[in-house]
Amino acid sequence: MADPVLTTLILTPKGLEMTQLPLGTDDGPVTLRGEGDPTAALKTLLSRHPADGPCSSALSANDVMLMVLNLPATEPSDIDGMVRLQAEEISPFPAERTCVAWELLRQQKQHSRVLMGLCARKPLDQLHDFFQSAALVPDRVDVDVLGWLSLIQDAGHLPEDTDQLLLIIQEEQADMVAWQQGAPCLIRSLGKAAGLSADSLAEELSMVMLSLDANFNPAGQILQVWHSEDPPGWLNRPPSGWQCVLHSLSQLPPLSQGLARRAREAQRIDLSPSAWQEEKIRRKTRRKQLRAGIGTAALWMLLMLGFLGGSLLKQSSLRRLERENQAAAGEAAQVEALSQRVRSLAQFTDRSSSALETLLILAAAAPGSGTLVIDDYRYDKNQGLIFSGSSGSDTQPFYQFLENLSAGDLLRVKSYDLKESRNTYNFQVEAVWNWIDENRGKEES
Amino acid sequence: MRPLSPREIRLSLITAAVLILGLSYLIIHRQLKNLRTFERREMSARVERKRQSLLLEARPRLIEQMTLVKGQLPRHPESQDLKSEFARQVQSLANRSGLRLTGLTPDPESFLEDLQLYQSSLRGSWSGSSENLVNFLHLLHAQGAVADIRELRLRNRNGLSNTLTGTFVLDFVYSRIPVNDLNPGVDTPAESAETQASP
Repeated sequence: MADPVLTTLILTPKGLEMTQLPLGTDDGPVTLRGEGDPTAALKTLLSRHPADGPCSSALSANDVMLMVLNLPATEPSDIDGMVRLQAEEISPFPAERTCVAWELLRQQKQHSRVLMGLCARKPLDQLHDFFQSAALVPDRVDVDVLGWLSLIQDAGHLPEDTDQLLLIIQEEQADMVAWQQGAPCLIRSLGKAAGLSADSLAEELSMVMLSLDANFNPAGQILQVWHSEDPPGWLNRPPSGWQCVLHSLSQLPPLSQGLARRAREAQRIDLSPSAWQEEKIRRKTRRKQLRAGIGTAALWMLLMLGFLGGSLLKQSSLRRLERENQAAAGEAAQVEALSQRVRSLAQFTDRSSSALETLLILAAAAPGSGTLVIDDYRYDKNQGLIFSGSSGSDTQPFYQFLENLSAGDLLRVKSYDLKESRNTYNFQVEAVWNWIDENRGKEES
Repeated sequence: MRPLSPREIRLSLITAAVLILGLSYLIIHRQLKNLRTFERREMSARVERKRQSLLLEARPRLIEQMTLVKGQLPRHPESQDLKSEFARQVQSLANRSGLRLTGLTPDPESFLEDLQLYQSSLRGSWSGSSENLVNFLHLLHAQGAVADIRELRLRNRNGLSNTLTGTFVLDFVYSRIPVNDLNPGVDTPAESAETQASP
C-alpha cells in the first residue's frame, strides 16, 4: 500500500491550488494548479491525484479575526479555556455560529503567547460545501496569511532576533503583520488590496504602531512589503518616516506548500468545526460497514455458488457416468446373456452342479442312516434346491446335516424352517448355488 | 423519503440477516440433500460401471468357453425331427435304469440365435426307487454333452425310498448342419456314449 499523502487545497482568484505532501517519506511536495471553475478543477485534480490521506485547506485572513494573546497560563487546557472565554467576549457572531482555534507561539515560565483565530461558520460552511462536491471533508482549516509567514520564515527573511513589520499584498487582499523575536505579535487584515492607498497605509501604520507595545522596534522604520504581482504605484510614496523594502511572493514556494507544512505539524490553528470530524468519522464508519456488508455478501455468494457449483459438478459427473453406463448397457446385457448361456451350456459338460451331484451331496451330508427322511425335493438348475422332510424326534441330526451341507463349496443354505409336529421335527430348507452369491459379490465390489 | 431511525435500521438489518440465514439454510440444506442423492447415485453408477467392465472383460473368455462347449455338443441333420428321437433315448435310459416313466411331453424346439444352437426340452413324470433315479441320472451323464436336467422334482409320499414319484425337465442342446456335412463318426456322441455306459 502506498504511503498516505497530506493534501492541501486552497481556493485562489484564478482557481484552485493543490499540494500533496507525502507523509512518512522524505519526498518533496508536489503542487498542482487548476484554473477556471474551482469545482471542476477540484474534480480534475483529484481524479489524477486522489487525496489518500488527511486533507487540509485554509480561509482567507479577511474571514478570520486573528489576535495575539499573552495569557498567564502554560497548560493547554487552561489556555484553551482562556482563549474561548476571550473569544466569547469579543466575537461579533452568535456563539453557536463561531469557530475558535489557537496555536502556541511562545511559552515562558508563567505565561504563553498564543495566536487566536476566530471566524463565523458561514465561510467554513461554504468551504465544506465546496469540498463536499468531491466527497471530501477537510481535516484542518488554517489561515492563508499564516502559510505565507511560514514560507517567508523558512526562506530566512524573518530572523529570530529582529522585529519586523510586514505588509503582505496578495491578489485580492492585504495583511499587516508585526513580527517580534521569531513570532507574530499582531496580524491585521487590511481588506481588499485594491482599496489600499498611501494614505490608508499611513493610517494603518500609525494604528498598528499605537497598538503595539514599546518593546516592538522595527529597525530603521522599514516596512517589508511582500506582493504577489507588480507592486502598487503608491508604494513609491511611502508614509513619512517609513521606508519600503519590496519582495515578490513569487520567489517563495506556493502558498499551499506553506499551509501543507503547517498542517503536518501538530498544535497549529485548526478552524474546522468538530461536527466535520464527527461527520468524517461517521462516513468512515459507514464506509467500513458498507465494505464489511459487501465483503459478507460476496463471501455468502461465494459460499452459495460453491454449494451450487459443487452440486452441479457432481451432477454433471454423475450424468457423464450414467451416459457411459447407458452406452455400454446394451453390450453388457449381451455379454450377461452370453454368460448365462455359457453357464447353462457348461452344465452339459461340467456336471458338478447337476441333479445327480446334488442328490449325492445331500446323501453325504446326512449324518446317519435313516435319521433324516427327505419327502420332497426340488432341483432347479438356475437357482438351487428346495427340499423338505423330517428328522424324527431329535433336532441334532438336522443341524448336523445343515452344517455338513454348508461346508461344501457348491451350495449355501439360504433359509430353513423347522417345526415340531406329533413328536417329529419337520423341516424345509432352501439352498442356493454359491456361484449366484459370487456373481453378486463381484458386482457389488 | 423519511430517513430511517437507528431502531428501524437495526430492525431492518436483523430482518435481512434472518432472511439471509433462512435462505442460506434452504439453499445449503437442499444442495446437501442433492449432493447426498448424487453421491448415492454415483456409487450405484460406479458399481454398474465396474460390473459392465467386468462383463466386457470376460467376453473373450466366455466366447472361448462357449466355443469349447459348442464343440462338444451333438450335431444333427438340418431337417431331422428330433422330438421322437429324444423321447426314444430318454425312454431307453429309463428302461435300462429301471425307472418307470409315467408321462413324457416334448416342448417345441427353439433356436438360440446368439449361440447358433437349437434347444429342445422334454417334460416327464416318473416313479421308481431312489436307486432307479440315480441310475437314470448316471446314464444321462454318461451320454456326454447331450442332455441336462433343468428341473427335477422328487416326492416320497410314504417315506420309503422305493416308492418315489416326481417330474423332470430335460434340456437337449445341439446344432444342426446340412445332411452332406454330417460325419457319423463324430456327430453321434449320444449313441456312442450309450453303448459305453453301464447302469
